[in-house]
Amino acid sequence: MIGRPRITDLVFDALSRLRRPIVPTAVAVLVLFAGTTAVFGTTGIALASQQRTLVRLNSPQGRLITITDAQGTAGLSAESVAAVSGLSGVEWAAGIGPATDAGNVNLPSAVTVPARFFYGDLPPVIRASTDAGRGQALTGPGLATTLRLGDGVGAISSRIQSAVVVGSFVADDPLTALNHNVLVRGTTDEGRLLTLWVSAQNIAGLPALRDAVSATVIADQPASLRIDTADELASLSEGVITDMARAAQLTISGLLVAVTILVSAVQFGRVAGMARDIGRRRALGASQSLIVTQVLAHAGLCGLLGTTLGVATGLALSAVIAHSLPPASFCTGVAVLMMLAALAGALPPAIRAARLDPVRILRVP
Amino acid sequence: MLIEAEALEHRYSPRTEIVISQFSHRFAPGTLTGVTGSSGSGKSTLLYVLALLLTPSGGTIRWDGVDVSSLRDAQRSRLRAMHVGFVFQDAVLDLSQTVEANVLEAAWLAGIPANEARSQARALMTRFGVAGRAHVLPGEVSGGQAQRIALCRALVKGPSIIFADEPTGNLDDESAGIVWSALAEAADEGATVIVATHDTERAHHLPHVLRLPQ
Repeated sequence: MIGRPRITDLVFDALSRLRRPIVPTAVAVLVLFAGTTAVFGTTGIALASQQRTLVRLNSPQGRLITITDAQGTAGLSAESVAAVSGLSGVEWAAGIGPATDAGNVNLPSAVTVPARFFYGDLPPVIRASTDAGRGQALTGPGLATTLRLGDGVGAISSRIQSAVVVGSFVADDPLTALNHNVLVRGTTDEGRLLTLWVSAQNIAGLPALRDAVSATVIADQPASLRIDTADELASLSEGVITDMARAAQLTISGLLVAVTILVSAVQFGRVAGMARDIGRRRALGASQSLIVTQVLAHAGLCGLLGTTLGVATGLALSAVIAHSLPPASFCTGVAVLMMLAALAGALPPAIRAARLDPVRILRVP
Repeated sequence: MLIEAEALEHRYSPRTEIVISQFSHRFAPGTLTGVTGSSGSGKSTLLYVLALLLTPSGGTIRWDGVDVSSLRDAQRSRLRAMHVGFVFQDAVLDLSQTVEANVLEAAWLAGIPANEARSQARALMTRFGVAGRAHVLPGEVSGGQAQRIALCRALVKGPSIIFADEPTGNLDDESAGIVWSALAEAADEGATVIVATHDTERAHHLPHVLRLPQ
């Protein structure tokens, strides 16, 4: 005999008191379940949507910096491709010159298609059937047929250049506009660019890279260049995230306060209903701290059940409504906060239970 | 266990009248003492003060010579858990737990290993004729059976002190006889048994009777 309960006995007692009486347990579990689900139903889904938006923003389109010599007066040098490729945070860089009409050398009167000089290595968004060397050309989808090139290869000529067609390519987003062109690998780096594309390794580095690219490009009149990026979208997204974080804080705080109050009310009711049991336990040797522990254990177990069910339901809701799941840190954070709310709510009734006067409870008038 | 009260006083609050005044007595081990007196004389209060459920307003309580009257709650609770068996007037069973769980409650609060406690509980329930009701809820047993279950709960940890507050107040003669016999046997086995009772006829036959003044 050690004069105090063993841990295993305490656990068994707490578990047995979940079932009887069932009503306060069910209500406490329901409160925690509803609170957790509500957090997921509001903030969790918003967070999942935000995550999906960030993934979209981090797409090749979102990470692209486009420098355009729109008026053709800036004198953007093809050497810029090599210059910006060496910048930190660049995934790839490529440039194209202005378009000229090109046709099949062997069929001078046949249809012509736009041909452009292409500078830099082919980026990952352009899939080529073969590698084209300097002066060699690749046709966009279907253009070999348009040019009536047997087996997709042959020779083309334009006003300024003749080139051997060695294969074809397919450009994906964001360079799909190139699919209507024949791309001729630039023979030197001394040509002029109409457009220079620079892809950042991630969207977070986009604003800094934009500044670096702007300072690095080689042009006669850099001021005439137009630089387009998705960083405005990124900053808009950042603003949305900030607003959302504030709203989430308010929502979660409100729900935590509500859960704490409701759990407190449930536990006060439970303690009042168990007054004789508490008085008897005190007489049989339960200390005040043991009574506090037992009330908190019940609240903790209810919290565990309610929060687990709530997180599971919340994740399912997020998957169905937002087609995305909130981050694991959010799920853990919500579960921990709800558990703390359950324990905090149970603390005042637990102290009240410990202070019940067993003599007044047990005496029969 | 020897219980000594010296110049004991108790009032429930400074504004209420004194309930126990200058009470001194020695309760020897192996004795059954009946505490009698009219209503309001402080019988139950004396029991709860001696059982360390109430802190006396004045005076001293010693258990086996050790002053226990001013111990902290945790220490008093531990002493109660280890040494005290309680029998209340109306059994005060936990209606949400089975009869066996009710008997075992006192044992696990004392930290007695489960197997040992279960074996002792079954022996006591058999002795008091409630073994067949071990797995039912207290709502399904009679008043007499409930008090016998309460007796099992009081005896399951082999206490050296037993306090009983009007333990037969609600019972028929046969059930009351069983309770009194069990308390007498506990005293014979060495426990200090103190019983607050209105039953003057029974008390008349007890070896030790303490009549509290009005």
